[in-house]
Amino acid sequence: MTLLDLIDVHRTHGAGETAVHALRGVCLAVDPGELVAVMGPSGSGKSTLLNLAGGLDSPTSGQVVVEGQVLAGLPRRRLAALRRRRIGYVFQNLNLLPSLTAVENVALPLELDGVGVRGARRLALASLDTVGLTDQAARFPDELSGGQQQRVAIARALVGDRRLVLTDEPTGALDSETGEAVLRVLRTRIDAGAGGILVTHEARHAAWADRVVFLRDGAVVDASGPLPTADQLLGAS
Amino acid sequence: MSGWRTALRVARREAGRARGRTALTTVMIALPVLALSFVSTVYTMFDLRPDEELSRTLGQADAALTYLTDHAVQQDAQGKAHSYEPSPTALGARARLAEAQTALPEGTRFTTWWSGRVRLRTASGTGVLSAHAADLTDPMTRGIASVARGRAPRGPDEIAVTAAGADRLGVGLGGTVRLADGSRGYTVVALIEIPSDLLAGVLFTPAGGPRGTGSGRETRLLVDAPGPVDRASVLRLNQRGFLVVSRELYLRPPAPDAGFESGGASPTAQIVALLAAVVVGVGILEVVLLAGPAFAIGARRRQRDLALLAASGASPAQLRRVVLADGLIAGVLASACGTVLGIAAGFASRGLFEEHLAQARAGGYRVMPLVLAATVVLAVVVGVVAAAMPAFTAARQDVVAVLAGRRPAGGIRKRWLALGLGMTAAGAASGAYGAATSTAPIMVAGLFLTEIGLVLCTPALVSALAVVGRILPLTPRIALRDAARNRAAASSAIAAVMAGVAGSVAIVLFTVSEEERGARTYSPVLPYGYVSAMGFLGEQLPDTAAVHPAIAQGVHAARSTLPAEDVIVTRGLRCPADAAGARGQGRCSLSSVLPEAQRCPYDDRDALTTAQRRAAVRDPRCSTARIWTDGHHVDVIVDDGTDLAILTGASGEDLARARATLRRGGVVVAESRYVTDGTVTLQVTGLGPAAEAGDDQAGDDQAGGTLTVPGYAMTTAAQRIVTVVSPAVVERAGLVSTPTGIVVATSQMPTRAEQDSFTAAIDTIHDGLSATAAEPAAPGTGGEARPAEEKPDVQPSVTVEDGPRTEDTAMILLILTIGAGVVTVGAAGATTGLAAADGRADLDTLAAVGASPWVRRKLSLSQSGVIAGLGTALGVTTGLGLIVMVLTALNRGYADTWPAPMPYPIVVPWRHIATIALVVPAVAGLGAGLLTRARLPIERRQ
Amino acid sequence: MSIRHSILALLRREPMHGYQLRAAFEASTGGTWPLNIGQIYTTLGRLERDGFVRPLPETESGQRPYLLTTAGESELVAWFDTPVERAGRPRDEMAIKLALALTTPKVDIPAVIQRQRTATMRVLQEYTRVKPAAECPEELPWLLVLDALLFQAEAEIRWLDHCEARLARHPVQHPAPPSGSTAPAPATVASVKRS
Repeated sequence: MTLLDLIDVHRTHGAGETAVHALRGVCLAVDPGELVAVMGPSGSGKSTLLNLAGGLDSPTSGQVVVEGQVLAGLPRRRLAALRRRRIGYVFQNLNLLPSLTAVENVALPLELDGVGVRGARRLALASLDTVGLTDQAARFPDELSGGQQQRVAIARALVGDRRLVLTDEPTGALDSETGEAVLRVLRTRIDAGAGGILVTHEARHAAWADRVVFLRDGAVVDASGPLPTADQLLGAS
Repeated sequence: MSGWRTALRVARREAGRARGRTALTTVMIALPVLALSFVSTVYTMFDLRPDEELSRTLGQADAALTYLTDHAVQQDAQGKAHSYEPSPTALGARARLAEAQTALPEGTRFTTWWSGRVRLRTASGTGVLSAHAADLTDPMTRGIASVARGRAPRGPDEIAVTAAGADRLGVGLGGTVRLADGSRGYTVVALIEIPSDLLAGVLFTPAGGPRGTGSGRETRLLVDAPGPVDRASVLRLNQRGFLVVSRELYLRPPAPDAGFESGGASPTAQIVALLAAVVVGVGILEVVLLAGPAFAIGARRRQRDLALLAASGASPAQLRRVVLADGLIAGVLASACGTVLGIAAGFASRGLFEEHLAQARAGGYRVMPLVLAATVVLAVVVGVVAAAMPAFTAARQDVVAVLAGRRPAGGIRKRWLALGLGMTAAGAASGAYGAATSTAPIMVAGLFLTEIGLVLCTPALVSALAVVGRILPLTPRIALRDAARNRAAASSAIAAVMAGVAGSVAIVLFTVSEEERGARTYSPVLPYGYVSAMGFLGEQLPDTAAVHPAIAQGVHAARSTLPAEDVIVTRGLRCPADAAGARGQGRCSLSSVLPEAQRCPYDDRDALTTAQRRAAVRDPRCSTARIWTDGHHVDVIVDDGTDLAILTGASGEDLARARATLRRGGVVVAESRYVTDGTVTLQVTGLGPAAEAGDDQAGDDQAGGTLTVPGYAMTTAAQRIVTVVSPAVVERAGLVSTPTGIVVATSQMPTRAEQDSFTAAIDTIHDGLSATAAEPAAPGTGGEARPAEEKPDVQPSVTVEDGPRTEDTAMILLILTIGAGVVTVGAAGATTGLAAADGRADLDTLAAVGASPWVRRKLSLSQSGVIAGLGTALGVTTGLGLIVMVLTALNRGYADTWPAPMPYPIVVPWRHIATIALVVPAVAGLGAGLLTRARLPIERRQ
Repeated sequence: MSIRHSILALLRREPMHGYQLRAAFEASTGGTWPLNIGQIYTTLGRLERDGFVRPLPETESGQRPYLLTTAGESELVAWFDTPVERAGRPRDEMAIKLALALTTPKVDIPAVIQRQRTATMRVLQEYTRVKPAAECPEELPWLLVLDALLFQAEAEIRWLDHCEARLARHPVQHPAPPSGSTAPAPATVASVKRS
C-alpha cells in the first residue's frame, strides 16, 4: 500500500491581498522502500509539504492520505495518534528532548501511545540497534555528537512498526561525512521496507533518494525523470 | 556607569517586548508594596490627629470630666492612661457637678453626655443598642455627634437615631421607638451621625433616657470654661476623683514630670514589633523567591543575546548588570504601580472600613509619605535582589555551549549544598536554643537561618529526585528532569512554596493548638446544640400556679421556634419558705466537698519557692486542668434520673449507673475526685440565720452542715462540671426544689434566626410574668444622671451550647489555605512559565512525535506538580518542626510557673495539613494544566 | 588526468605488467575512467624512454613487469607536491550553452536549466547508488574518486539553482533577432552588478 499520498494539495496562508500560496496543486506518493527527496529554494513550500504530510498542518484543498487514512477532517487528537503510530519526524535539530536519555527518546512515541515502560524500552533498544547506537542508550542528548543525535532521531522515527519517516534537513547541522553516515542509516532503514520524504536543499543528499522532486513557488516544477530531447530544449519554432 | 546605562536600555526594551512576563514580575513585587501602602494609608486615615480626636471626645468643649472615685485619680496629661482606687460609694450626679464646679473657675458651663446601652424593640424583636443621652442643642456637643436630618431632640419624648440604628429599629423620621418592656415610646426627630461610633445607636435627651441598663455606661461632663483648663485645674479635679481630658493639655502636653504619670510603652509592643518584622521579612523573602524565577525566565530567554554580548567582549559584571537592570526596572515599575494603587485602594475603601470594620469615621484622606518612600525603596531592593541569582547565573554561563545551541545544565555546587546544610543545622540549633531559653530573637533568627539553609539545599534535592525519577511515567519524568535542569529557578519557586506552606502550617497548628487549649479548658453547660432558657421565670419564684403557664408558654415557644426533639423543665434548689429572708431571697444551695486527700496542698499558699512551684506543677492534684473547674459556681440541678440523658448527654452504662445512683437518693457529679468510696459529701449553704447570702466557699464552718450521700462520677457527660442531686437529697438537706427554666434537646444546632425568635419569645414571656407579678416598676425615671446600683434584675438568658469558639479558626484556616494556595499557584506558574520559555522546542518535538495536545497540559500539570508537591512537602515538614519548636518553647516557659496557664497541646490537625499538602498542589497543578493552551505550538490550522 | 603519474603511483606499490596496472587503476577509481591496454603500453614506453621505469624480465606467462626507477620516484613525489592547475581544465559546455541561450532567441532558458538539473541529478543518484553499502579500507580510493564526481555534480546543480534564481530576479529580454546578436543587454549586466 502507498505509505503517503498527496493528491492535488493546495495550502494558502492568510487570505485576500496578503494570501501566500505555500503549495499549489502538489501531487506526491511515497511507496514502501522508497525515499523521495524534495528540493527547492527557501520558501518553495518544502516545510509546508512536510507539515501537511505529518498532519501538523492541513491543506486548504486536496487530500493527504497516510497509509490509506484520509487526514482531512480528523480532529487534532486523531492526528496526534496517527503521528505516534505511523509517522516519524527527523528535523535538522531540536529532535530530542534534552531531559530524556537516548533510549527514552526513542521510546517516546510508544510511551505516548500507552505502551508500557518496559515494552517501549525493549522496542526502543531494538531500534537503536539498527542505527548502531546500543551502547549510547543511557546517554542524554547533550552527551551525544550531532550525528549520533540524528541517528537516535531516525531510530525514534522508525521505532516499532512505523514505516513513514519525514525528514527535514536531517543533515543540515552536520559535516558532510557525518551527514552521509546519517543518510546511510536512513537509506538502510528505507531499503528494509520503510518509506520517507527527505526535504533538503543539497543535491548530494537528495541523491540518496529514489526520486527527487523540485519545488518552486509551491509547485512541482521538475522531477528526476527521463532526459529531455534536444527538440524540447530548443522550444518549438 | 555607562555599563548601567546600556544595561538599563536593554532591560527597558526587554520589558516592553516581554509584556506578560514584565507584568507578572511587576505584579509580584507590587503586591507587597500595594499591601504596605494600603495598610499605611488606611492606618493613617484612621489614626486620628489630636484635634480630630478631641472633636470626637470633647466636641467644642474645653474639657471632659469623668467621675471615677471618691479618692484621687492619677492620670497622664492627655488623659489616656490613669489609675485610681475604687470607692464603695459613688456621688450622685448633682454632688458631682458641685465638686467639679469648685475646681473650675467661675462662669464655667457644664453639659452631660451619658453613654450606655438600652434594650429596645427592634424591627424583628428586641435588641440591645448603644445609647446616648445628651443635649445636642448645646454647641459644646458639636463634633461628638451631628444631626444629618431632622432637628436635635429637645423634649424628653424625643429621640435621635443613627443610620444603622434606624435600620435596626425599623424607623424613620417621625417614627416611634419603644423600650423593650414597652413602658415608654419616643418620637424620632433626627437622624444623627456619631463619628466615633457608627453602630446602631440612639440618642435621648438628658431628661428622657431610661437609666441603669446594661454595663459600660459612662457619664462625661463637658466643660466650657472661660479660659483653657490648665494643669492646676486638672490636678484639682484629679483630687476630686475626676479623670480629665483637657483640650489645652491634650494639644500641648507639658513635660513628663509636671505632676502627671507617664504612659510608657507596653512590653507587648516589642513582641508586636518583632512579629511584624518576622512577617515583613518572610513576606519579602517570599517575593524574592517568587520573582526570582521570573527574572530567570528573562535571563534564559535572552541566554543567546547574553552569550553574544559576552562573545563581543562584555565582562561578567556587565552581563550581570543587564539582568539586574531587569530587576531594577521591575522594582521601579512595581513601586510606582503598587504605591498608587495602594493609596487609591485605601481611599476607595474608606467607606467600607468606616461602616464595617472601624465603625467610626476616618480622620480624612491622607498618606504616610515616609512609609511610602520606604516601601518604594524596598520594592526596588526586592527587584534587584530577586534578579541577583539569575544575574549571577547568567554571568557565569558557558558562552560556547549557548552559542552552539546546547542548553547547559550546570553542575550542582557542592559549596552551596554544604552551606545550605550548615545553615539548616545552625538554624535548627539556634532555634531550639532560642526555644529552650524563650529568647524570641534567637528563635526567629534560627527559623530564618533554617529557611534560607533549606532554600540552598533544594537544588541538590531536586537533582537527587531527578535521578530517582527514572522510574516515573513520561510526563512527570520530563517535568522532574526539567526542574533539575532549571535548578536555580525551580529551587527558588520550590522555596517560595515551602516558605508559604511552612508559614501556613505553623499558623494553622498554632491556631488549632490554641483552639484545642480552649476546648480543653472549656466546660459545656449542655450537650452540643442544646438550648436552655433560664431566668424567665423570675428570681426563685416559688413553685406556684403562676409559674406553670409561663413554663407551658416556654415549652411551646421552644417547640415552635427550635428544632426541638424534647423539652424538659429543670428544677433548682431554693430555700424553704420558712428560712431566713422574707420571701426566701437567701441563696440556699448544695455543693460537693473535695475530699481532703484530693486537695492541692499549694492552693492556699501565697508565696511559693521555685522548688515548691515545680513540685506543684508535677502534683496531679494541682494539675492545671483542675484550675479551670474548681471554684466555678455551678447551679445544682435536681433530677430523679428521668431527664439526666438530656441534661448531660450521658449514655450507655454510665447513664444507667448515674440514674441508679439518683434513684437511690444520691448525687451525680462529673469529676471523680469528689467521689470517695461511692459517696460524695455535700455542703449545705445559705440555710440558717448565720448564713450570709453569698459565697458558698466562704468558710469551712458554715452553718447547715454536711451530708454524705451515694455518689457517682459520670464519664460520658458533656459537662466538665455538673452536680445533679436527687429529690431525696434535697429533702435531706432541708431545702426545696423549684422550676428554674427549660432545657431543649435539639436535633441539630439551631440557626441564628431560630435562636433569635426563641429569645424574643422568652423575653415576651418574662415581660408578661414581670407585669403580672406586680413587682414595683424600676425606679429611676427621674433626672438623676446615675442611679445607685439597683437590685439585680434577673434577666432571662437563653444559652445555646455551641461549644468552644471556633468560627475564627475556621476563617483563619481558610485564609491561610487560600494564601498558601495563591503562593503555590504563583510559584508553580512562574516555573511552568520558565519551563515553557525553555521548552518550546521540546513541545515542537513532542508534537512531531505524536504527543496529543493533552500531553502539553499533562506536562504543565506535572511541572507545577513537581514544584508545588516538593515545596509543599518541604513546607509541611518545616512548618511542623517550626511550630513544635515554638510551642515547646512556650510550654517550657510555663515549666516553673504555678499556677500555670494551660500548656499548648501539640495537636497536629492532619485534616488541615492534608488539605494544604494535597489540595493546594493539586489545585496548583490543575490550574497550570487548565491554563495551558492544549495546542502544541507547531500545530497550525485554519 | 595524468595516466603517466597514475602508472608511476601504481608501480610504487610493486612491479606490475600492463594488465595488472589496468586492473589496479580501475580498482582505485571504480572504473570511472576506463583505460585500454594500448594506452597503458604506449605510456609505459614513454616512461621507459624518460628513465622513470625499467622493464623486468618476462614472466612465464609472457608478461613483462615494470619497475619504478629512482628518477620515476622523484617524478611521482613532484607530482603529488604540485597542485593541479584549475585553469588548464577543459571548457564547461553547460556554461557556454547557458550563456549562449541568453542571447539566442526563442530558447526556454528555465527549461534548459531544469533539464540539465534533472540529468545531473540522475547522475548524482547513480553515483550514490553505486556507493558501497559499508565503508571498508580497500574501497577508500574508489570512494574518494566517487566523491569527487559527486561534489562536481552537486556543484553543477547548485550552480544551476543559482542561475535559475538569478534569472528569476532579472528576466531576460531577448534582443530582437535582426539587430542585436552581439552581447547581452547592458542594462541587465548593470543591474546584476548593483545587487
